[in-house]
Amino acid sequence: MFYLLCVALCLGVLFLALTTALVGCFPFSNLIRRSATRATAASAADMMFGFRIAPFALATIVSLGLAVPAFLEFEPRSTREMLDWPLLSLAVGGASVLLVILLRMAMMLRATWNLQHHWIENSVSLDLDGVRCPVYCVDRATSLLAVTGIFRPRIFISADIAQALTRHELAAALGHELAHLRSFDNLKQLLLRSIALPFAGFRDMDRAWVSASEIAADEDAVRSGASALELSSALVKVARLSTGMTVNLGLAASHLVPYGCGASTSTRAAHLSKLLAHDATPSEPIRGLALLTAGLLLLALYCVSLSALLPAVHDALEWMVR
Amino acid sequence: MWLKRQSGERELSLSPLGNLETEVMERTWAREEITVRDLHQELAGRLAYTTVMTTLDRLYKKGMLSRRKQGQAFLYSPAFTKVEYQARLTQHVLGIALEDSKYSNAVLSRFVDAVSATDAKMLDQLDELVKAKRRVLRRPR
Repeated sequence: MFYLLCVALCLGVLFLALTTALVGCFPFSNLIRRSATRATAASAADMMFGFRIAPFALATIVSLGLAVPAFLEFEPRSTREMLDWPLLSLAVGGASVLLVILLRMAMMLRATWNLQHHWIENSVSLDLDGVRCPVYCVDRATSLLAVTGIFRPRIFISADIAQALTRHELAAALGHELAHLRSFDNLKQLLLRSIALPFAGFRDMDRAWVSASEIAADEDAVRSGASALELSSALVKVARLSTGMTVNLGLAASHLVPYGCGASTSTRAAHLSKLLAHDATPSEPIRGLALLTAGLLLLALYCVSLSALLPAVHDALEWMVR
Repeated sequence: MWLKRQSGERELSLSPLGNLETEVMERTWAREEITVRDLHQELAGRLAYTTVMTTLDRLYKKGMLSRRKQGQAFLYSPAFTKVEYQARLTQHVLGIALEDSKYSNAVLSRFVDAVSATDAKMLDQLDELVKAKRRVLRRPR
């Protein structure tokens, strides 16, 4: 009974903390999006990703980092407390949220694995200097240049794009894809899509994150040595090749348009135009250092306040169980 | 990934046609039967005779044209009507899209997503800027 109660409490607290955090965060989504427009693309992407992931991270910390230790510390093993309906409902809510997230993740990982294998079967491997990630040329009628996968990423290029781009343009386009890998954008995409919510505020933020991460990848590619001119030229060529083929799809296939697309192409074109017009090199973001500092501060705060917080948390849990 | 139709030794490739191939197909659809000489004259010498001949031969090998010999020359005619071709191409591309929809859950970052009319306008501006920059770079200092 002790461990069953512990699991139920953990799930119940997770659900309660998550819904509270989501309700608390929701009014700020527009404010965060507006603030993000004033930041650099990389910082904006980080800010929006952090905001979207924060309620789930907070709920996990409250549940696993506070509720479980408090229960294990103060609850006698021979507890006679029973699972009551309110706690059971909260636990079912928490379990459902976890199940939905895990199912979505599993489906996406499976689809990604299948897609990679489907493309690999119809492709030849390319040996390109300076590109550590495996690159494949896919025999395919529609234009494609994409990086797939999370743990073992691969870059796929369709033959028409490989032929249309010059060596320098291809290097710049691959630089953009490698920048996505450096910032773990596919992993972030997996997390965002697995916690997607049917509210306009959060959906708009997910779209804004896609745009910001695309611009951040362009900037990172330019900082890493790709020419803004070649990157712009590659974007124009690939976009035009893509247009030629998507026109035929019409409305019947419009629902097949991939996640988060649409907004980023013109935003990127406008951003690259600015870079080209002013011969500017994007400034270095302070991503890693800021994240590390914030993480260490949170960890220190948690360690310092844990012993003081646990009795209060246990009192709150007792109230929940009763 | 190619949708192929057996036609003698040739196969119909439904990859998108290039600009020149499209122009040649348009003229062949308009004339029903055409020789290399006719087409070369129609293009008013814009292209070399051998280029026209190679393009027609390539379209024949792609299964887009059929041909019969008349004296020393070949007479080329469309293997199917323009409407038929467009229908097949649309079906083919839609087929690929539907096949891809099986994997619509996959996690991937595309270099370019869908391109809207607004995007096209912005891309034109970017293209102009790229050309201008290249002209400046080519100019001797």
